[in-house]
Amino acid sequence: MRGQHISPRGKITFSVHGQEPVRFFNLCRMGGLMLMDVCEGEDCCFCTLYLDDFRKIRPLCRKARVRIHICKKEGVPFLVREMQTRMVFFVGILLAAFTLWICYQFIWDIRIEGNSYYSTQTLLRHMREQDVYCGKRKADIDAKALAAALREVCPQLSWVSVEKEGTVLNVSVKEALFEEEGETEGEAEASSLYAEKEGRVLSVVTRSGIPKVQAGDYIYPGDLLVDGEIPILDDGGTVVGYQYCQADADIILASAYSYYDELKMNYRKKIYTGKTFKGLWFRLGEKNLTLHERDREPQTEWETDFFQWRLSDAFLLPVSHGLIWEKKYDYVNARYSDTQAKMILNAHFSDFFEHLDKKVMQITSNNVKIQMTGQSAIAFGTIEAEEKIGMSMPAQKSGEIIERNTQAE
Amino acid sequence: MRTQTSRKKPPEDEFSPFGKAHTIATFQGRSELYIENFKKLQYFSCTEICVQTGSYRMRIQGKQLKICFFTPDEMKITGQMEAVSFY
Repeated sequence: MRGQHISPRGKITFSVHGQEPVRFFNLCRMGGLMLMDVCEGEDCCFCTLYLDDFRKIRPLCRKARVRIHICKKEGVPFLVREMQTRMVFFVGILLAAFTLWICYQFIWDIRIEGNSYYSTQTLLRHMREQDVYCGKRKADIDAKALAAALREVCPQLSWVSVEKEGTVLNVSVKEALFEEEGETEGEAEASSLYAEKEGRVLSVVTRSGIPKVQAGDYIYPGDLLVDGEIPILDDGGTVVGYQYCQADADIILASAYSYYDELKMNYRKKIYTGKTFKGLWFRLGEKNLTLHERDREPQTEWETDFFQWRLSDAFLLPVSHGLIWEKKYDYVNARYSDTQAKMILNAHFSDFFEHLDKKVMQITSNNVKIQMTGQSAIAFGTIEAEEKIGMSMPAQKSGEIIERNTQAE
Repeated sequence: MRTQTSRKKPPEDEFSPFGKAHTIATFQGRSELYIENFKKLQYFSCTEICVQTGSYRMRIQGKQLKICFFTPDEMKITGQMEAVSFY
């Protein structure tokens, strides 16, 4: 398929009427004009001339006794003339293109991914402190400097990547957990392990320090489990000094958790009666414009949709719009069925189970039962578990006693 | 004093063994024909085109014939050509 070509010189296609069109063609040729696309039509011939050649054919027409009728004008000179008559339209196109170009110079969305310790709002706040926000000029954002600044402000971030894509700033982060670092930092300090829960000790495996409890002992919170202070004895069994270490041991404890959850069988159920369209909401940059009645009736909920205008996934515009819906509701007295109540209590119990202490290694018995009492459903019981305990605290040093012993000697 | 002026020789056509500019017709398949060194267009319709050359006429017959361009030096005829004759 041949592509359309816009002639820069301008072309005019016209029909030639008269007795001797061939003579007219020959006269044009002798006059140095270039005829194009000469073809025969009904009672006439059609041909095309460049605009500057067309201006010279009047005497030739008279000489050959032919009449011409312009059929088509094409090319840049005619396009310019047409543009002059539709100036507002073309100025509008140019203005739109200019506006898009201006919009492309700014950041209109910041996408953060990979964060869990730092919330998106926290990172956005830190970025705002670095003078990076939605609406900032792209050229003014130094991606490397921003990444370095974020790493400095947020020590838990081990890797930060900042990338400008269209009008979107993509920030990818990786977080590292430095909980173990604290333990390694305290390596030089002597520490002992203390109990933080009550229960019976099931097993003790000591790696460093002197164990003060053994399997079968019943311990209470605050009891010393492993001592980080190791006495040095002479041949006579007298303490001549102390060696300090960081106590480390795996102490497994059989502990019990009590569980209680009560659910009232009667409750007020929210029933939505209808959804009505309230109005539009626009946002330009950081300014909001709402087109709706602001009066809010009792027992109504407002729902707002949000759409940011975009040309592509990476070319977002600073304009958003939303639809505002009003949802009315009524309260109705309702009662859970036994099955519903059990399902709800089971769901609550599953949540509790998921949020149990991370140190719990194994659940040995689960005695939680659900009891229906007419007015309410109660889930209660105990959960017996095996868990690892041992809270590291600085060891009590007996340095003064050593000195006294040496003075007495 | 009478000055002697030498008469200019007409340009010789490199394709002509007789030193006279001949009409050159170049076909590209049966749908395109270039004609150079012709005198004038004698007749034109969509089924027949007659071209006057130096010493004879050239008749092109066919269907949907059209002159793509027509300049002092050459012309290009397109269409479905069926016969070319000289008379």
